[in-house]
Amino acid sequence: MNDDEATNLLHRLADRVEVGPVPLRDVLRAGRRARSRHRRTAVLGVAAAVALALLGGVGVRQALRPGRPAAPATVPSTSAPAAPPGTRWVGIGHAAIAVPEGWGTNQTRCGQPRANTVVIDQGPIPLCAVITPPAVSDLQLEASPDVPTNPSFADAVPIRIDGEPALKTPLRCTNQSSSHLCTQALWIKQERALFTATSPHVGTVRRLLSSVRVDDAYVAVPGTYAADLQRGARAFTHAAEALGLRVSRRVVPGGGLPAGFIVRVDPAVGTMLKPGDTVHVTVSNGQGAPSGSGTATSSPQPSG
Amino acid sequence: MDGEPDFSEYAAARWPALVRSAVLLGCAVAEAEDLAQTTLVRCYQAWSKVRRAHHRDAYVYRILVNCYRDSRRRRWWAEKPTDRVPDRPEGDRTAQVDTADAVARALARLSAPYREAVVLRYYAQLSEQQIAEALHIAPGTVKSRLSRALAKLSSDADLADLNGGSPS
Repeated sequence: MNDDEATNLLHRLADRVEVGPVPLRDVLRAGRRARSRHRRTAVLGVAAAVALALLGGVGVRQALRPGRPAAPATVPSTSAPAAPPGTRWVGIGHAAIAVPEGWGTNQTRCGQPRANTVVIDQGPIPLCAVITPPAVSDLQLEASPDVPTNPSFADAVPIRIDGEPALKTPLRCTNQSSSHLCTQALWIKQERALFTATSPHVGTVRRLLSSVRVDDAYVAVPGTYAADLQRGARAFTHAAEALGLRVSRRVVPGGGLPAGFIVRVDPAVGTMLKPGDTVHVTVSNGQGAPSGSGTATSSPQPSG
Repeated sequence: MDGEPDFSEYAAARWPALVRSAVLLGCAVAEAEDLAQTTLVRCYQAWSKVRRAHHRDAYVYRILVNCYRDSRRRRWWAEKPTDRVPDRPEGDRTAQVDTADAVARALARLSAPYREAVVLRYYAQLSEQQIAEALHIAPGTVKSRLSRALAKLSSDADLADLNGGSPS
């Protein structure tokens, strides 16, 4: 059988299917309803942020800074969605999660959290023995194109978040040596986004995962590590542009980094922006001079 | 919504092809219409993205295939195995063999990944590259799936009957 014969056979079968008129009214009604849900979320968030700004002069944080609880906005304030009070958005693709303002980013040692932290775009993790301190919470964000291999996903429940299909694992708590830890994970298939929350407090885990939103109007700055754990600027640029972001590159001496490797991304990985916004990438030219002070402020902090 | 007339025009134009594609993937007609409707609602929600997509139809078929897979997964959970075969008399099979039935049976015998590739290539007329994007697989995988699927269809007994008993 050749291509033409296959095409002919399928069309003969398809032509036998009688199709009714397109239910356009139902489609538009369902679509508008889903969109208005998104809008309500955004409007409430904006109102909350305005109230906070008026009362306390607190702006909305838009960039991640490793290990620091707050950072000045590095992009226009209209670019990112307003987060619920006392939180900031961090995300993958169009999926975002509200993280408490006081949490750092990649505050880990040997892959283990050392303080309440978001873990994103962490890169290679050195092997060593570290005991996790008690009463520490962490939220891991990972890109996962397929159903995560985490065994908990065998019991995951299919749900929808803003219309997108997702899988949520049961909340499980275990006693590990002196600490009691609860974990739950959420995977959003379309966004390839995996959020895993771990905390000694059940309420913290629930609060984190219940804040997840999917909104096509916003997109997260993608991760910098490629599959081979290299931080190549070219792969990052392709990923960012595929998401609708613009990329501005600046080449500097990389302080020992090979040419083409990323020195810094601003705003940081995970920051929610609007499609069309610009991400500034500083790239190593392969020469040895130090990359300069302050350049690490918005790049993910290496673990170790 | 910005572009709502644009969306409505697109939805009306693609509706029959989406429903028929879902039937070819293995849905009953009513289920296929539900699937096409769900696909269009999701297109509406992400219309700004769909409109900007490099190949709009490839993007929309990706949504359709994802919805189809979700529906199969749910159905799989809902189905219970049984060791009792329904007592249903079979009619004269030779009387049913017309082209469409033969094709439907041959398609049903293909595994889901092969059937998806065949429907997207030979009915939706997507290119191999577009199918690769729609199914999140490598272009080489698309090529091999199509090649193997065509080989299976060529040796299918029902389709061979259409050609007077000799496989094409």
